[in-house]
Amino acid sequence: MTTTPNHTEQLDLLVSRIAGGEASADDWTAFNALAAHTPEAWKSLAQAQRDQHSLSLAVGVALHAADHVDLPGRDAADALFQRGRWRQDASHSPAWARARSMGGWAVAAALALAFLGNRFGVINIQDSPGPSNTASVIPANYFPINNPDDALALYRTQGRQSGRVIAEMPVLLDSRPATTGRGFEVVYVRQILERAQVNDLYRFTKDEANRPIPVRISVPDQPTRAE
Amino acid sequence: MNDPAGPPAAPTADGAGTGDQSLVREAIRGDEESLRELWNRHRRWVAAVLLAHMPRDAELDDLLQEVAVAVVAKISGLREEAAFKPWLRAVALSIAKTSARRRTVRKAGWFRLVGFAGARADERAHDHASPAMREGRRLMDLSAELPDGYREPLLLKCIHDMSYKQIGDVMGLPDTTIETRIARARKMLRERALAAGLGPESPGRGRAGPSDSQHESSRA
Repeated sequence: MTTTPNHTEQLDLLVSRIAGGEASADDWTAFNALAAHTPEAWKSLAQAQRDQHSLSLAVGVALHAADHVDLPGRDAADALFQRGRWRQDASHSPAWARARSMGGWAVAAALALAFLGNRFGVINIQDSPGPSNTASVIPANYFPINNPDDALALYRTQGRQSGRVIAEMPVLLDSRPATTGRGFEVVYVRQILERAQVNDLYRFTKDEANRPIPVRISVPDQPTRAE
Repeated sequence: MNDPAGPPAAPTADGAGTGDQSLVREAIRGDEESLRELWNRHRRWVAAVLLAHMPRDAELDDLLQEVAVAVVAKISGLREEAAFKPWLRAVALSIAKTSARRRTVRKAGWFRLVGFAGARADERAHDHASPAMREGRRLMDLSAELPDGYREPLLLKCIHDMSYKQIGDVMGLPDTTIETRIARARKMLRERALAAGLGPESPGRGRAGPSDSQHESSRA
């Protein structure tokens, strides 16, 4: 029997409906009737079901990440949303406008830490207990450094006390199942926000030969002189 | 032809949309618990929408984080409770299109900076995946070649229990249109899979030669 376009379309729809788990008893009856005259119908159905299974498997794995993405709190979301806007605007703004925005950006980043911290298990700097949780049983000025985490915890604790370290905002770059078969191996950037006071600030511009040269930025608005 | 052969399948009564409207109302008023509940109900299909529209080398979880932030920041501006799903989809589409490239570039920059020589996680995981998973990944890649409007419903249909009706609610289209698009998407995908050497040779169904492909394209 020759398969007409109408038959083909009807068969395609029935095959799709069955493969997608939406077929009723009537659909099966219709499919059986068509298949009686179209031997390839069963082959098509088997292939469609196989495609649906494989694709669902891959999509399911890809969407697994969705289950771990929670909503941020309102304050954090507002700050992050504003930061996103700033980032878009900044590429068109003069350097000083960007510099003035840094205060807002730092606040947003600190809030982002709380948001992302849940996801990556990052220690909140404000609540950092210190290296290896041993500060209560050993002299306060003694910090055993036995591993990178201890060293980093010491840096964070002392940095926070001195006011230099503001927040940490990790970015996950890559992940894969661990070769041991347990857990995952992750590659991430530890972005640590620091605050510092410097005597001079330079920005780069270009000279006549188009070579980058640093130019000292003068301090804007000197309140003491203005008064 | 927009009518499928026979009546469309009845939407599954799986409760995915039950009680949404009151939750949306409360969420608009600022109730964080309601919004959280809504997010938990819908984030999987939001992720599928992102998956369908984001560039191939973008990171899904990054984009979903951005959608989460935008949802919290903008929910108070939603005017119609019934428009929640299309609104949520519009937020996801906007972020998929505007943010993906920037993030990918930034991550690539980090990798260059630190001299990270590893391949992408999913490419490496390819080596250890089951044959069905490898085939599924190939099909997912090939689905990127489908015409606009076909990939999204096909991927949404891969989410367990998502019916034609529910997909139609999300995309703002009748369920009959969704069903027709999914059926055509399956067929086009199979043709591309065959051309790519994936699966058994010649399914034989419908003599799927060039004329059929043209037929599909003209109807798209």
